[in-house]
Amino acid sequence: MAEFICFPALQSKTRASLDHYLEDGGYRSLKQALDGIAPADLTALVKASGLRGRGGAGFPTGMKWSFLPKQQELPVYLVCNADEGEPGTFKDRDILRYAPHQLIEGMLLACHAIGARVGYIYIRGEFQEEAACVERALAEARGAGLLGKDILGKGFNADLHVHMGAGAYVCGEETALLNSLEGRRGLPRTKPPFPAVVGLYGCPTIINNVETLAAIPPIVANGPEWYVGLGTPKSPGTKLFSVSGHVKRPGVYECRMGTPLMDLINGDCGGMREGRQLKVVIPGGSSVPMLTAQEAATLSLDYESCMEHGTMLGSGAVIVLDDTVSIPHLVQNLGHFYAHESCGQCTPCREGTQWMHRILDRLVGGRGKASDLDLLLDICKHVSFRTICALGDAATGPVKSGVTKFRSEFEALVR
Amino acid sequence: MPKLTVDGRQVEVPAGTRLIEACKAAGVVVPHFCYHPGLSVAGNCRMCMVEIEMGGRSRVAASCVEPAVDGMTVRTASPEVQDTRQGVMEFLLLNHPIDCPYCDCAGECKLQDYYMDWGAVDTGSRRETEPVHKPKRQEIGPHVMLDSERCVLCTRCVRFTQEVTGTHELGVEERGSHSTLHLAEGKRLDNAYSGNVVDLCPVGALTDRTFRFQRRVWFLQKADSICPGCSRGCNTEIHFDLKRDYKNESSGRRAIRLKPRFNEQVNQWWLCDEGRYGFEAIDQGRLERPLVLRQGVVSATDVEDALSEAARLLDDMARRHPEQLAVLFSPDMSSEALLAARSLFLDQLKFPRADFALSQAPAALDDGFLHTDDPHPNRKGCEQLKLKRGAFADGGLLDEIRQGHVKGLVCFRWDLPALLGAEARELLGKLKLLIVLGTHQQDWHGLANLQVPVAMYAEQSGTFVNVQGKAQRFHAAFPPLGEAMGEVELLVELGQRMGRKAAQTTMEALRRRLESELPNMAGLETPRAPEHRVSKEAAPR
Repeated sequence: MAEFICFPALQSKTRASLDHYLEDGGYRSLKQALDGIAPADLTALVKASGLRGRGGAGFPTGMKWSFLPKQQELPVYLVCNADEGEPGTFKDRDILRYAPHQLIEGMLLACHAIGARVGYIYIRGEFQEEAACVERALAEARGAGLLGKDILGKGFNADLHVHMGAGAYVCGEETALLNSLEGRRGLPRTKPPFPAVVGLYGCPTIINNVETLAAIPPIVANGPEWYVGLGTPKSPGTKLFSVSGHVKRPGVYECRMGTPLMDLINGDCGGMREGRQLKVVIPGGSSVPMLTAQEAATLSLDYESCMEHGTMLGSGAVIVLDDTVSIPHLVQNLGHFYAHESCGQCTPCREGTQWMHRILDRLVGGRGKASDLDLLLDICKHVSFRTICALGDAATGPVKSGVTKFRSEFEALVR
Repeated sequence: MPKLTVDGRQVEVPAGTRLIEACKAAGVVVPHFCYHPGLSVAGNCRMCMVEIEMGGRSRVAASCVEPAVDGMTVRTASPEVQDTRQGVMEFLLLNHPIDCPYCDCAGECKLQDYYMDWGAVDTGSRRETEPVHKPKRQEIGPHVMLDSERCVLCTRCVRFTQEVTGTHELGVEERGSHSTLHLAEGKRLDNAYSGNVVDLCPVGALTDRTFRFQRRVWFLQKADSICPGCSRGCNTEIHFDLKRDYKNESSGRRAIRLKPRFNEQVNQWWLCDEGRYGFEAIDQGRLERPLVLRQGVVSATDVEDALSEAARLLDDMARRHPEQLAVLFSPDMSSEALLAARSLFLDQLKFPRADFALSQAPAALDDGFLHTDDPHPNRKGCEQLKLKRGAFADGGLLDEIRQGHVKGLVCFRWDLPALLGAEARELLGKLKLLIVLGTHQQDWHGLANLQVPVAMYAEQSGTFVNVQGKAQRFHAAFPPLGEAMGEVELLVELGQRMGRKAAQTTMEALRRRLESELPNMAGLETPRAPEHRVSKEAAPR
């Protein structure tokens, strides 16, 4: 069941202001850290909490921070990735709306840990309202001496700025985001070097997801052991899940890691629509392989269970679909999305996503050939893991799992 | 220094070397479109993927992006790699027009070459029947034509205009499969180095407008040369064809195009447009036969007659008024020719004035990159041979003619009215003896008693000393036009006819003397003889 342990403001949805946040114990972690937690100890604390990146890749946050060069003359930047664009994902939006100060506090803690004095919040272009919420919160914080020079009178300087994206999905990829932030085309960069070494404006840069950064204040307040205890051994803590689709109560829910998927669907979400059967769950956003109802029955919401089920936890975007859904149409829809959003620099993704889209269009339009199914799978093979960023691989997730698990539905289209 | 194994071969490379370069050092050329050693790494074509095994784990990665790391085992043609490359080739060809029969790049196209190595699979049944179309035949600049359907979006040209010229004319517009190479708003590809993008383009998307539909590249012969356009001495290849003439507009042309030849110290991979497109002078407006002025009439003659006439005229004047003789050398002559000329006119005939001149034309542009402000390829060569500018500096020659001190002049290559000013024409008419050795017809040549045709740099072998003091040898691509001869040959013949025992009678002897006198002349690379060869070997593409 959902509990809202780390993100209480997401439950009430009315306590976004600074006053509310302070009443709820806000900025105490920051004070505590500035009072007596050395940057290296703060990084160690985050490492000990086992917090993993909540943007989709699940990379351990503390470890990411420790990749910064030890001897450093260039400034270090912190960038918050608020370009929440994965189809099915809308959890960061709730944080930006209902808990902006928690994000700001998390970012200031991260700045303290990594030695950054400037942070950017890169917000998805469509999030006009959310950006306004964050700007409002930043102004409140600045007015209260919580942002800017000499924060809380502790001699700590750090400022945060909002930057709006322009609507490209690929700019959620961290290095495309950096290019976009610099005013360039939003194309992912080749790696190495990684952003921790050469990032924004050529300087060492840490990029974390909104939820990741916002999870840090409660971790500091309650200690890493507390956080570890909330989840499973390999997936500590809690996670936000954006549940969409054919459930009675879609929405954002915070669950302990390891919560059975069906508990979330049948409990908080109120189960399927009346008279409908569960057909498919995409547990981590549109790019992860879909699960059949049978597979979903045994899934628990943590990294290891997802891996066992041949899928990924991703950003925690749980897309629940019932038996009214045609899988070929679903895959066609997503195929169009990825072909449209490919940045176009890598050959396999540029050409492969477009080709898959054409094939899916003709299959759904009744003009397909029986050989198209294997052709789709073969194209997936030539796109997966052969590009600069993960978009190409993401595009193959729904195609591969859809064609493999629901092949008969595709075959019916070419008979 | 990381040590790694590439396809079973051990190789040690400097730290920070890109894997693709480490493979090259091991003797394995990894196929690639977007990678170019003279540009930043884009990593976008995904053709150079190799399998890397390290610490018991194996992965496929782009070798242009990955740094070479100690202990890596690299496989450049494993089944996984082959499958990857086959996929890339299929993707690239999916919407490609496959118009090789009339594509200028056919024969030197990476898509064609790699298809045979990596892409040749039975994909006929998989190809889409209706490829995506993009704009064709776009004149994006004075020299370059763009066909967007052939473009593989490697962005080499874009990076060139960003990183090498800094002119930013090109970019990619749109996204995904709509991505298209485009000119920046309000710009044309009109910089002084624009032709290089044609060399950089691994396919036929960017083609040379002067080369368009002129020749099939596999019929071109190639000779190593040095650009004579300025004192940089960029290394070039002359691509020529002596047999075929498909179109009337190339009628009589032997040199078909110039390409830069890689030289790390001089021009790297590049060549300026002025040098690249200056090759038409090799075949146009040439002085092809000796012309002699007798009783006020200019008439053609043969070399035999011309040389005998020159010897007779010079002997005559040297016997009667040696103090009235002058010879003007040119910094466009090779060091060998300058040495031969110095030996004959200065050491043996004892001309009182035997100097070289420098162009008085408005200073050429020193663009801070390759082009220098000195339009002559061998000024340093003149200086090394201790030739002086004395008699001819600051209009000195005209004064001497006006005052009657100079009545006989031998002129190598110069356009004298251009060099000395308009009044030169009148004063030259007052000379008793004027012998002109030139490459091209000039309207004042009618004043000369004798016009002797001289071979262009493409027609003779020689050495230029560039602005850096680096001596560079060039090769004759083809024989001289008409009855023209190289200066060395002409001077040896002339000396013999004048009964002078020339100390240097052959090119080899001249070179031995240059080598013994000048340290920078020793151990010069011998250019390769003209031949059919693949350009890619010369300039890494």
